[in-house]
Amino acid sequence: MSADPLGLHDPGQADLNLYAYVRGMALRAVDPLGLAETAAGFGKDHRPTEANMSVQAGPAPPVNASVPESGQELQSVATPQSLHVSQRLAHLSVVDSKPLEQSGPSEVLFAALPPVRIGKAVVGAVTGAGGRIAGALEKRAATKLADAASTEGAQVATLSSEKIAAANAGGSAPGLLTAGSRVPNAGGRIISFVTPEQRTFYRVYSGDSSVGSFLTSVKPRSSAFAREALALPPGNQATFVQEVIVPAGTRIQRSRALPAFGRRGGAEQFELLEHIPVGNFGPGVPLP
Amino acid sequence: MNFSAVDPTLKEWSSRNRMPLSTQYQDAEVRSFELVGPTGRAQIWVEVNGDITVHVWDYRKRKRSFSVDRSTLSDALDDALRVAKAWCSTP
Repeated sequence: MSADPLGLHDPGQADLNLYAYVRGMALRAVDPLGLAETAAGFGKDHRPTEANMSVQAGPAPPVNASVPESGQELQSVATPQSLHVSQRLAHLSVVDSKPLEQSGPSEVLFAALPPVRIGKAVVGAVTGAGGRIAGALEKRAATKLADAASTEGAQVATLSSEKIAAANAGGSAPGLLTAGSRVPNAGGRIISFVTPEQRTFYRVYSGDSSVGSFLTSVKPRSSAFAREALALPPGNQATFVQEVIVPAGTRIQRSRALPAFGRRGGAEQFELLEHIPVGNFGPGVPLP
Repeated sequence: MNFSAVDPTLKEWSSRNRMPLSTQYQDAEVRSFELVGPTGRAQIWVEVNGDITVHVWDYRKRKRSFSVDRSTLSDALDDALRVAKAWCSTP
C-alpha cells in the first residue's frame, strides 16, 4: 500500500487524500497504470495493455548533484542511472548504473541542470515514487524499483546522452514535437501506449496556437486551473479549450505535469508522440 | 513570445555562467535555466511581453521577479542566480 507519490490529485482543490488514486481503497485496489484503480493483484484492467506499453518513473530533483566550488568545472548532473520498466514482462532493468559522484560538503555547491535533448523519446528518471510504482509490478521487481527510486539519495537519473541519441535516431519525425533543449515536463509514472480506439481529448491554448501535442483527458474547468495544474508555459494563458480527436493507433504518452515556471503542475497530461491530422483539432471555445 | 531581442544576452550569460539554456517546454518557446544545489533546486526563466521579466523560483513557494530592460538583463540574471543559489543552499 502506498500513498500517491504525486501528492494531491487536484491542485487548488480540497483534495487531501493521498490514496485518491484508488478512491481511498488502498488495501483493496491498486492503480498499476495510473489511469484507473483495479483490484489488487491485477484482476481486471480495461485500460490499454499494448505489447509495447512501457512505464517509467519521472524526473526528481537532483538535490545532491555536486560540482567544484569554483564553478569553473560545472558538470552535467545527468546520467547516473536510469530505470526503464517493461510492464509486459514485469521486468526491471537498471541501465547506466554508474554511481553518482558525490563530493564532500566543502566541495558541494551547485550544478546547472542540463536541458533534456529529446525528440520523440521519453526521458525517464527516478522520483520518490517507488512506493506507488510498486503497486504496478511484481513484488520482487517493485522492491528493487522502490529501492532504486528512494529519495534518500535524491539522485537524478536520466537516460544517458547516448541512449537519448539512439532513441532520437530511431524515432520518427516528431512533427508537432520540437527536438531541442526541453524543460522536463513529464513526471510521475510515464506510460507510453498506442490508443486502442478513437478517443476525444482536450487541449487548452491561447492566441492562434490551435494545434499542439499536449492534451488532457478531462476538460479543464477554468483557465486558472489549467495554467496551474498543467504547469503551462508562460505564453499559454489557456484562454481557449478545444476538443481533439485522437485516432485509434496513435502513440501517446501519459504522465503528470511537473512543476515549472512558477506553477505546481500535478495534473494528468497526455502528449501526442506522432502526427494526427490538423482537422482533428476542433474549434476553440473560451474557457472561463 | 519573441526572444530574439534577448537571445544574444542570454547566450552570453549562459556561456559565462555555464548554465545550459533550455528553449522548449511543452509546445512553447521558452528561455529557462535550472540550478541544483545541496538542499534544493531552482528555475530561472525570462519572459518577454513588451517588457522583459526575469523570474526565479524554488519549485515550491519562494518566487521573485525582476522587471528589466535589455541593458540590465544580464545584471538581473546575476541577481536571480544569487537568489537561486541562496535558496538551493539553505533548507
